[in-house]
Formats: sequence, structure tokens, C-alpha cells
Amino acid sequence: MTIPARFTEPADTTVEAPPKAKRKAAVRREVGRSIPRLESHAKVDGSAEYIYHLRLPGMLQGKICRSTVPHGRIVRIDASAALAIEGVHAVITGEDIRTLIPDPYYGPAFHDQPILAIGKVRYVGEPVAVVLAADLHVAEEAADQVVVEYEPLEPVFDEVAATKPGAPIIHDSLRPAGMFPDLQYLKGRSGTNVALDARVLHGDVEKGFAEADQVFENVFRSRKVVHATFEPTVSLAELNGSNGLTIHTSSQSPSYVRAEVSRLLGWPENRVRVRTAFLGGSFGAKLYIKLEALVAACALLVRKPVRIGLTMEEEFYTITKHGATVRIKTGMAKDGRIVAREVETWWNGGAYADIGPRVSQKSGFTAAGPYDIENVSLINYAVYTNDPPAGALRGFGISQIVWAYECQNDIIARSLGIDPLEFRRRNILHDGRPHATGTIMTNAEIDEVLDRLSDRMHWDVLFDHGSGPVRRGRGLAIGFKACIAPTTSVAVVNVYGDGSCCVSCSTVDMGQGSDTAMAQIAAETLGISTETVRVIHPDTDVTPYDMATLGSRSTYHMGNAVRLAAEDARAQLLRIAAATLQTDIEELEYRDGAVISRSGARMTMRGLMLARFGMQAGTVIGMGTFTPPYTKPDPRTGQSPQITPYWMLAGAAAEIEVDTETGRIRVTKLVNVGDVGCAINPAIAKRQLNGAGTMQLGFTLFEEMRFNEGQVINASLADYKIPGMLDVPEDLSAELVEFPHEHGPFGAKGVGETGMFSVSPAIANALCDAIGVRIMELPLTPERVLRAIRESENRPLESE
Amino acid sequence: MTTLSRFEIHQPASVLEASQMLAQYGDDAGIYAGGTELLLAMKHAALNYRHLIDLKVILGLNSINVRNGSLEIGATSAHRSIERSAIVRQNQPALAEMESQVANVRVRVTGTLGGNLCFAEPHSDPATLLLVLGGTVRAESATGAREIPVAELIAGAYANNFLPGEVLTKITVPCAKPSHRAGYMKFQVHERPTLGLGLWMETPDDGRTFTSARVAVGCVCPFPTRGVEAEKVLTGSRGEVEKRLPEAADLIADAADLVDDHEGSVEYKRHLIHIFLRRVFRKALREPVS
Repeated sequence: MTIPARFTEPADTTVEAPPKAKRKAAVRREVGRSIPRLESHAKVDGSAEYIYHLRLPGMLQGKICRSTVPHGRIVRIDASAALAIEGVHAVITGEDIRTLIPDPYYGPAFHDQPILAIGKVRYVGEPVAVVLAADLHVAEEAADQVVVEYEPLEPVFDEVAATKPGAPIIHDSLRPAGMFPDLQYLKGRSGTNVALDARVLHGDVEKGFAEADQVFENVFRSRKVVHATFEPTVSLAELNGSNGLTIHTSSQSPSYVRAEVSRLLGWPENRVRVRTAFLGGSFGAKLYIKLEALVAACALLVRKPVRIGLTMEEEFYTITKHGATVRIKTGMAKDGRIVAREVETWWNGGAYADIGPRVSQKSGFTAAGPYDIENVSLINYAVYTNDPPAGALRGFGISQIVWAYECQNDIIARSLGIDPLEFRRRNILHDGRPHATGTIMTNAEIDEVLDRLSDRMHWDVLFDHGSGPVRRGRGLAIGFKACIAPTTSVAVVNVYGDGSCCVSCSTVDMGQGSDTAMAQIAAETLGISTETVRVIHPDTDVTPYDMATLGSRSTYHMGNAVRLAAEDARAQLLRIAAATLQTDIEELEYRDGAVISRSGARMTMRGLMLARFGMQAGTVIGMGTFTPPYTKPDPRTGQSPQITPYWMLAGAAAEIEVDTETGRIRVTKLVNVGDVGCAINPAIAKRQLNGAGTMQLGFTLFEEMRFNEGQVINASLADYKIPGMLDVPEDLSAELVEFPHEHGPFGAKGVGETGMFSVSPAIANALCDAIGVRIMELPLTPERVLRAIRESENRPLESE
Repeated sequence: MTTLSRFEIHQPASVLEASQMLAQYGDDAGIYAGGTELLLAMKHAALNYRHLIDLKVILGLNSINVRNGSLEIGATSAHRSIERSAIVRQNQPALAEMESQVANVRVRVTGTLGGNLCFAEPHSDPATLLLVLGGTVRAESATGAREIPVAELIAGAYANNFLPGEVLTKITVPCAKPSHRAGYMKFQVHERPTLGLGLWMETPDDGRTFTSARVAVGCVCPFPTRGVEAEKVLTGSRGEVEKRLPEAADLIADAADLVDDHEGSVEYKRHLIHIFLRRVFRKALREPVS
């Protein structure tokens, strides 16, 4: 492959391009400040609450007995040996659960997952029984003694093979859950492993390919990886009065847990209380139902509090990121414009759908990339296999998709002799133009992301590729995501008699800094200081509904709800003052716990309370509800005028060194640029980008779950490596592109996932830049790189 | 099972008492000498000791001295203290350098050289280097004491050749001489190394000719393995030796029982031996490795 001369001599760096005109942002006191996280001290001194540490009086500990076969019928479960062990309180099986819950199947997309296996197991590690004992060691010992006999069935692990005729069928029939409006198109199906095939059709792709001057087609793969949160998944359930249940859980979605557990039990929602605390990381692992239904059922069966806390090893058998196979075909015009793109993606959802169909559909409709392409066809298959279930993982499928289109874009650019940056500029989907779904792009700062990447990388300066065994390369990639829709957040802002304030919301602070962001938004609106605001952690008896803490939606959705709630509380306070002072409300301002009029009159909180309640006590409650507009896509064509409330644009660029003798890649520089609207807390937003970038670096270079007949063979942090300090690039930086989003709270958009999108292809493109080899499967392990080098030299490794 | 089972920890006052405890509890007892590998194995129920005998509390068992031209390193010397020991750095710099690269600083502060050798984790670094430095260990029990070459200490993956009741008390390593050249290199991507390679050579004329050599490979195989045949071709003039490095690498790979696992395929590991033999040769000669 010849690489075009695409560099000029170093430019005069004193001359900078004129800055793009910014939409003017108002002067603010709290929002936009890098306030240290409110919980920093508690996390350092150990007083921060985590559910994993919670112990309830009289509780039993549960240990799960798991399937040892990937696919099989349960012939017999013999718990007698386990029950004979002193201290074992009970052994619960799927049939026991059925005595309490006749239809014990759950799931956000399909009701396909049993609380404990019934009749059949579908992956190695599936929960089959639970041993309960006061002593965890006893429960563990006994769990080993539960004898389960299986009649093995043929398994299928590959997501493409699972869709072929004759593949073993994993679920006899599928029942859509019907809870989420965006998943209501899911159909009941039988005789297939394809839970969903979602399509987007835009223009005429066949015509586009026919008219193209050149067509490129490649297949890209990424393997399953795991969230590896440092607080493993944990849930406790206890009886609450005579007819209620309290669930303490490390969940990102307390409102959903309440609804789903109530549905399973056939109870009204008000009898189930779900509370969370800080989460020691989550990244999508702790969404929907994980252990909550199981501990609820166990507690009700034995009438005692029950705790089940997973070990790190069990996390590998609970939820994973989707492996994916992406076939991407692109038609090019001579001038370097993409004229047609067809993407077919098989998502390995594992044994249970979890939220996989939404991952497939939502990420799938962005599979052509943030590019202006006249003819697009996107097909996404959410596929069942006999792997552990796959669900959300920070980015929700986007990084698997960007991996395909940004690697292919580099292949095309190099083949056509166009600089990769210039190639992207030529094809950008600008504001005002229709995306493949028909939604018109708006507030999407792709140009600016590219500009910043170019600046940070000194892209127009000649790059030294090195000589000798260590070669250097650089690469970049961009990606985007549409925020999930439609979803709702509700918040309550409570102003107390002394003017202090609490924010009640069901957004879960799982390390992303949402408590601080919500406090900043409330403080800005109420004219008080952020540090004085308290954020009440999710407790469904107290905090109002929120769809879930996921998909980078909290800052935008809950941020708006908190802003509206604070505005509501402020308006009420102003109305009290206006009535008392007999002035127009427009004359008044609420600030630092007092109402001040333009004429200089002042009412302190004490005065406001006296005026409203006749004494110096009381509460003013503001409420805010936020549901952005959304139009369901046409199920046949995927077309919708309003597919998302906002787009998240991202770019990453990397400089790497490749040891061509071992194949090892060392990333020396990683830049992550995110279009965040206006950052509520710039330091936290940058840390989100860098944190995500580092996480994706692990997925790019070494993380992969390795399987042997469905068994994960590296299910521990000793054998499954996640990035450590020494893996972090020496030059790691993040940059915020800040243009206020017109509907975001103070202009903000979400940022939790943005830093994940583009890292893998940026590194693979840098690898190609360094040594001219292209790898199409993640991770880029040294052996895989070395093999590719040797292939390119026509002397494969085996021949040695 | 992934929760640490209950065990009782015993703190003997002397090696003799430790040996008696081992005899008393038999298969139910294991020696605790840092626990960085042991506790992980117990967590996964790969080992199920109900009694741990804590050697680290025995006074003097972590001393580092030079006697009769050899380093004498007490069994419970932590990797970190060996790495930082002026005596080790002066008398066997290759050992100090290798120790400075073991795992991470938390493991090095806790884990001990004696514990590491006894545990025989296939991916550990020290045994591979000690094989080429000519290390021996001292085993003591109530009935006596014996010296065992490191090569004979290791019985296989996670297995050693101690007799019941024997306690490793000391590691002896000949001091480096001006005519010696030694080095250890590893290749590591994951938590544990993929490959470890140790090389020792004797050169009477400052690297122009080599009169004898010892080479050993670890991590790629169930236990650190000497490349005895390879050593034969690693003598002669520097030019000759350098020319024969590929041949030597293949002989090392042939000697080792290369394992296909998540660290890499057999052919990749063979390839790495080629690359790292050349690099460790240069490193031993204190030249840039690549």
C-alpha cells in the first residue's frame, strides 16, 4: 500500500484560525465551575455508603449454584447433601420460586430470563439454585454440594452461526416485555435466535452502489468484554411491615426495579421500596433486574432478610458487553464522497436478551457514522447465543459500530490517497442535513471536534514514523451516538425553613459525579452555593421516578428536571414575597436564602416562612418533570423526524509505538474530544472523557473474555487484565467542545460514554499508519499484531 | 468458590517449631510467607489449608548477607527488600534488577523470595533467573538440613520437591564476578508475564569470547526450564555466539514444554524466545537491547 504524501512542513504556529462564533453563555456562579465532588471526603475517609457493605440483622447470605453446561435440560436437582450441612437454612430452586411467582420471567425487552433456571439452562454460569445460610462460608460449601443433572443440548456461540438455518434454538418462544415505549415494536417470535432485526433505509442503496466509482467491503469484529466494576453486583431484600418489601441494591435503575419486581409479585408498586447508595462503578452492568428479583423471592419464601453479593468472578457470568460482527460496504465517488453505505451487524446477545435489542436498534441506526450519505441501508440482528447475557456497557454498542466504520473510512482514505482527516471533513453530516433516520441534525459540533483533534495532534506537521524495530504511527477517528428516547426524569427540590435545600431524584451516583452536577444545577437556579445542597440518594419511597441512570442521559434529562424543580421552588418563594411585599414578581430575585426586590426591600427565609406558614418553619417543594419529544421510527424503514433529543459527538486521536518484533503496541498519546454542550462541571466532564478513553484502551489492547465451550476461562482479574497505571498513555488528555445545546440544562449534554466511541479505531488506524497492517478484530493483542505483520511479509508465524 | 475460607494462623518462634507444626497438621497446613499467591489460590479453593504457619514472624529469617562469595538471602526477605538491598545490588545486580520488576510494589512489599520459590507459580520471575545464577536453597526440618539446587527444587507447576516437615530457610546465590555477565528480561501484557528469560555467561575478556553460559526460560511453560543444549552453542567468540542465537533460541524452545494458553500460542512463544534471547544477550552485555 502506498501512503500518500499528505503532510506539509510545520505551519507558523503563531497564527491561529479565528475562533468559531460561540452562542453566548450567560454569566453563572455555580454551573460551569469545576467544583470538587461533594462526596470526595466521604469516599476518602470511608464513610460513603455502598450496598456491598450493608448487613441486615438476622439476614441470610445466598450463594448461587450455577449451570456447568452451556445448553441443556435440567433432569434433576438434588439438594439433599447441601441441606444436610449444618447451618444451611434452605436451598431454593426455580420450582420453589414458582410457588411464589407463577411466571417468574423478567427482562426489559423480552420476558425471557427466569429468576432461577426452570427446566433448561442456556449458558454456563446461569443461576440454577441458591443456598441460604447465615454464614456465607457455609452457603458456599453447600452450593458446591447441590447436584444438578443435565441432558446436554447442542450449543451455539457464534452470533452469525446462530442465525443460520439449523442452528440450535435457544428460546422456544419470545414474549415482548412491553414496558418501554421505544421497545414496543418487539414482536413475539418463535423458532429463531434473532430477537430483533432492526432496519434503517434511506435513499436507494442499490442505486448508490451501482453509481459508485469504487466499492469497499470489510468485516470487523469485536469480542465480548466485561464491565469489571470494583463494587460487584449486590442486592438485599427484607420484609417491610406485613405486606411490603424493601430492596437495597447496587442498581442504576431503582425505578425500574420497583416496577419489575412489583409486576413479578403481582403487587402494586407502592409495596416495593428500592433504595441504592453510591455505586462502586457500574458502566451498564447494574441495570434492570440483576439480583433483585432473586433476593426478593428468597426473602419472601424464607421470611428473613436475604443478601446476595457476587464475587468478581461471578460478574463474568452475569452481564457482558456484546461481541459483534459488522459487515460494512461503502460506495465511493471519485471525489472522495461516500455515496452509499450498507451495514449489517450481528450482535451477540448471549442467552438472555436483557437490553440487547435496544443496543442493537439504537446503536444500529448510527452505523453509517456521522457522515452525509445519500443512500444508506442498516440492518441489525439482536442474536441469542449460549454465551452469558450481554447488555449495556458504556456506549451501548456504539464502540463496536464505530470500530467498523472508522477503520473502514481509513482504509478507503488511504486507498484513495486522501488524508484521513480531510476524508472525514469531506463527508461530515452538518447541522441542518438529514441523518439516515431522516432526523435533521442539530447541535452536533462535528467540525469543531475534528478541528480540536487536528490542533491537539499537530496533524499538519510532519510525523516521524521512526526506524528500526520500533515504529511510530498516529491515527484518528470520530463517532457519535443518539441519546436514548423517549425517557422521563422527575425531580423534587425541597427548600427548608432555614433556606437550605435538598434535591430528591432517582439518578444514581455511580462514580460519574451526578450528585455534584445536580447540586450545581439546583444551586445555580436558587442562587445558593453548591456545597450547601444535599442530594438525597435514590429511594423509591422518597425520590420520584427516573427512567434510569444510563446512556449519558442524566445530566440532560435529570438536569432539566432539577432545574425545573428549583425554578418551581423559587417561583413559589417569589410568589410568597410578592404577596407580602405587594410587588410584581418580576421585581423580585431569590438569592442566598432571601428575596430581594429592585427597590431594595428584602425578605429573609424567616420572613418568607412566617408569611407562608405563620411560623418560622415549613417546606417549599418544587417539582420538575422532563420528557423530551420523540417520534417512533417507522418499523419498516427506521425513519423518524425526531429520533433523539441530542447527539453526542466524539473524536479520539492516538500516537503509538509498535514493537514490530513482538507486536506490542504502546499508546504514547491519546486525545479525547467530546462535544458536551456546556459542561456543568468541566473537570468532572474531562475526567469522564479520560476515564472512558482509558477503559476503551483496555478493550482495544488486551481485554477479552475467553471461552471454552461456553465456559469463561479467564473469569478473574488475575487472568482478565484491565488497564493499570502503567497502561495509561504518558500524554493523556481530554478536550471539551462547548456550544450550549438549546434544550440542555444550561446548555449541557451528556458525557459519560462519549470518550469510549472513537478510541479503538484511532489506535488501529495509528497501527496502520505505523506499519501498514490492518487488523479488523479487537483486541489488538501483540500476537494478533505480530501475525498480521508476518502475513503482510508473506511469512506467516506458523512456518517458523 | 471465591470467598476465602476460614483458617487459623500459627506464629512459630523458630524454624524448628514451624517444622513441628507442619508435621502436626500434615496436609491441613501450609506455610504463609507473604500470601500474595497463596491466598488467591485459597480463595479459589485450589488449596484448602485450615492452618497457616506464618514464617514471617520468625526473627532473622529475612536477613541478607554475603558469606564465602555468595549472597545468603533469608527465605522471608521481601522482593522489595532484595530489590533495595545495597548488598544485593553490589554483589548480584541482575538479581536486584529482576526483583525490581516483580509484579507491582504492593506485591513486592508483601511477597517473599522463599514463598515465591516454594509456590512455583509458572509465571513467576525469580526461579528463572536463579536457575542461571546457580542458586541453591536450604531446607531445614526437625531432623536436619540440606542444600537443594533451584533446578531440583521445582517439581512442576505449583509443585516443589520439599519433604514433609521441611521449611525453606535460605536462598544462596553466588556473587557476580567481573568475568560474569547476567540478565533477565520478561515480556508482559497481562497481570503475569508471558515470557521470562534469564541468561548468564562467563567471559574472560570483557565480552569478546564466552567460555560458558547458562540460559533458562519461564512463563511459557509449566515451570522454569534450563536450555542445556542451547548453552552448548552459546560459547565461543561473540560473533559466533551471536550467529548461533537463533539456533540457541530453538533449542531453548525445544527444551521447554511450551503451552498454548491465553498468553499466546506455542508458535508465538517460540518467536518471543528468539526475540528476547537476542535482547537479553545485549542486556547482559549492558548494551541497548533493540
